[in-house]
Amino acid sequence: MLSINDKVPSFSALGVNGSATREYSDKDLAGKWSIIFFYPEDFSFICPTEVTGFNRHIEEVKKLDTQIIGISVDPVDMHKEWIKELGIKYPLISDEDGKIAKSFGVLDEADNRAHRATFIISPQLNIEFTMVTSRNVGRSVEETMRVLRAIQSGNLCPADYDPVKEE
Amino acid sequence: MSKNLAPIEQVKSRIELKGRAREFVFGMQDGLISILGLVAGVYGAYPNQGFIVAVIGITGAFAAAISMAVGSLLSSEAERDLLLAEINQAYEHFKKEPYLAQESLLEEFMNAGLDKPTAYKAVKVISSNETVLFENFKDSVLGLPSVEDENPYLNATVMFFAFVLGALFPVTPFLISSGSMAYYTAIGITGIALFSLGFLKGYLSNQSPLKSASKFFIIAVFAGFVSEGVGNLVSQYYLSP
Repeated sequence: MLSINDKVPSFSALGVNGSATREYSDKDLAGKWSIIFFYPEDFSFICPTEVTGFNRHIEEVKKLDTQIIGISVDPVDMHKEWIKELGIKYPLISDEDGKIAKSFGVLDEADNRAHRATFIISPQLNIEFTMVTSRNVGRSVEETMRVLRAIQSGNLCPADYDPVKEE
Repeated sequence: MSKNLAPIEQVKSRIELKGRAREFVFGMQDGLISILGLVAGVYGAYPNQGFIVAVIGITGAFAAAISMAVGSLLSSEAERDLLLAEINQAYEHFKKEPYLAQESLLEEFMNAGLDKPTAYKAVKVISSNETVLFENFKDSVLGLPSVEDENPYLNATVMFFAFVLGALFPVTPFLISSGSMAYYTAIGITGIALFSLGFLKGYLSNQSPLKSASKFFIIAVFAGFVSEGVGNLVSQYYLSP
């Protein structure tokens, strides 16, 4: 699995944003902060709690000059329906062969689906934060947001430091 | 019940009746065969004592009917208690991990042929009511029937009367007659009753009624002759001077 200061591996795959489908690659990450999160599959009952969790923070994420991208092994058509179902306002990449998840080191090869892994990536394409949880445990979107704010503050941050609360 | 759902209600009633038929068929065929066996055995030992055969037949019939009914009641109650315990355990699990119930129901619906988005939407709708979600999880995923479907007392009552009814066929000829006339009449009408019962069972279970009826009939005749043979043997060895 990728770790802190590792470079984002190069990748290229189709993704959907709203109803628009296009090719997404590591080049889309350059020049701005990114939250990349892998999740096992569309149309399940743990994943939407995370997917909509990120969706609720979309405006704040934009203000932090950051983009969110979700990645799973589902095909583009499935992503389209999933986006429509949940009203997702950020792109979902279709990693059908699991290559992207594998290059990030988060592919569960037993069933060719991704673990619940989250990466915060700097504009220079360096990994700044990683978190991976068991298939049965949804990740904390709030914690991801706190870490993003803390990293962007550039401060030395003690436990649970949150620039928003410090203001 | 709205009028257009009446046919479904009829189907449900028919299924319930068929479920009860299990107790009836089991009780009656047991009453027919075991009491025919008993009276044939006693007849073998006391061929000219129709009254003794009848008294032993009636006594045996009631003793066995009570035993069968109590057995049915206790086993139904035990089954019901076990089922209730399973349902309670499943509910505890469900309360702790409702997502697991949703995921497993989703998989169940997909296995039944729905595509994933449709199955997801169906589970989502069902999930808007906790009771409905649990009932679907319990029925479709765990395969646990509802406790209300079982009525141990009714099952026991059906079993008791079915057994007594069955026993009447082999006993009655000895109440009004004796000797070989009573014996062969008992075998004959018991055979006919078993044939009819087998026919009914075949009809209710959508199997060949004639095949089912023949099977019941052969068993009856076999039971009658074997029991008479045993009665004869016992009387020769132990009752002869």
